[in-house]
Amino acid sequence: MKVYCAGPLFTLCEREYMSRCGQALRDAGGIEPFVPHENIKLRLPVNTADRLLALGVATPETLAEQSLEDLVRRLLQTRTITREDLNLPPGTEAKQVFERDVEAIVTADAVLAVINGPEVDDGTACEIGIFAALMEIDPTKKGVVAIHDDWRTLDWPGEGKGLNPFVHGCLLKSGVIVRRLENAIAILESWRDGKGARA
Amino acid sequence: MKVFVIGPAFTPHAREFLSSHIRRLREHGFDATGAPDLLATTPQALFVEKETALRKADALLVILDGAQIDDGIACQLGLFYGFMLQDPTKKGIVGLLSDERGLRKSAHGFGLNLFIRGLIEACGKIHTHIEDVLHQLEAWRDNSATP
Repeated sequence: MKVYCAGPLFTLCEREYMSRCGQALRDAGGIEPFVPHENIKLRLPVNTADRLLALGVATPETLAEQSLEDLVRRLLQTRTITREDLNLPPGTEAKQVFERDVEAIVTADAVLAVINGPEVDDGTACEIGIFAALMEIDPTKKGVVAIHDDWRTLDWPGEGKGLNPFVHGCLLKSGVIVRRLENAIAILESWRDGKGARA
Repeated sequence: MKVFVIGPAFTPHAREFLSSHIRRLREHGFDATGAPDLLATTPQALFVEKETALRKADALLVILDGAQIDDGIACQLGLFYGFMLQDPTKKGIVGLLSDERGLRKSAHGFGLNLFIRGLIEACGKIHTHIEDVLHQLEAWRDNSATP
């Protein structure tokens, strides 16, 4: 089962959490997660390995353990190195981001959405909307599982203005909202196993 | 041509601002509606009301102002794009941005979320003046341009 992982991925903390969600899905077995920031395509110069060794951020052993692209992607995501260190062009363009991610949404069986934040991240909210519409024409699509444990937007206990009602309504129609990653994984496992209907 | 107008609508003035754009579109012959015309209050009813309006619309005008675009607007944007995939007669999405923070970054995508910008530019265009929005919608209405 393919699961698109939607959520904010702009800070180290956010990317770590999204990667943790992806890893939890891989650990569950039979689930193939798509985590956007783990799928950025890189065009690496031919001297990249030598450059990593010179920078002291890789050893011959670490270079042998994984693909060079995976290693560079991880070093960039953790800000161990910068694009300038490797003479890489600036970050991905909007067209590439959209085309890459929307293809993964269209082919996904389910979405795991992290909706924490002072409001739902706009990219995440947009992806929830797209998948909700796709569910209408593709009955094999399972639904959206949203993780929501942000104090600022919880109705109770909470101190903010709550979830945006349209996003909330969209999730009530097309998915389930849970507080914990473990609960989200359990629901996705039940969908993987053909148990439980659409939300 | 039915145009649904979405944008920040949480304060009385924001609703009035949105209504002024709706009126402007109506003056140009468009069958325009938007959030200020809707009445539902519960999440479920609100979703159904807006979903119905989005499904009926031929084109979407989205106001892109704000530190980030409002999450409800972003979700409606995604829903309309999903409807476009089902219905090739839909014309597209046109964005209107007047936020100074975004305008200062006009050469770099207006500071918008890359996925959101990529989506709008895949099926429409982002403008910074309402007159350009009207020209875009008129072109779609007159079939002289496709998204």
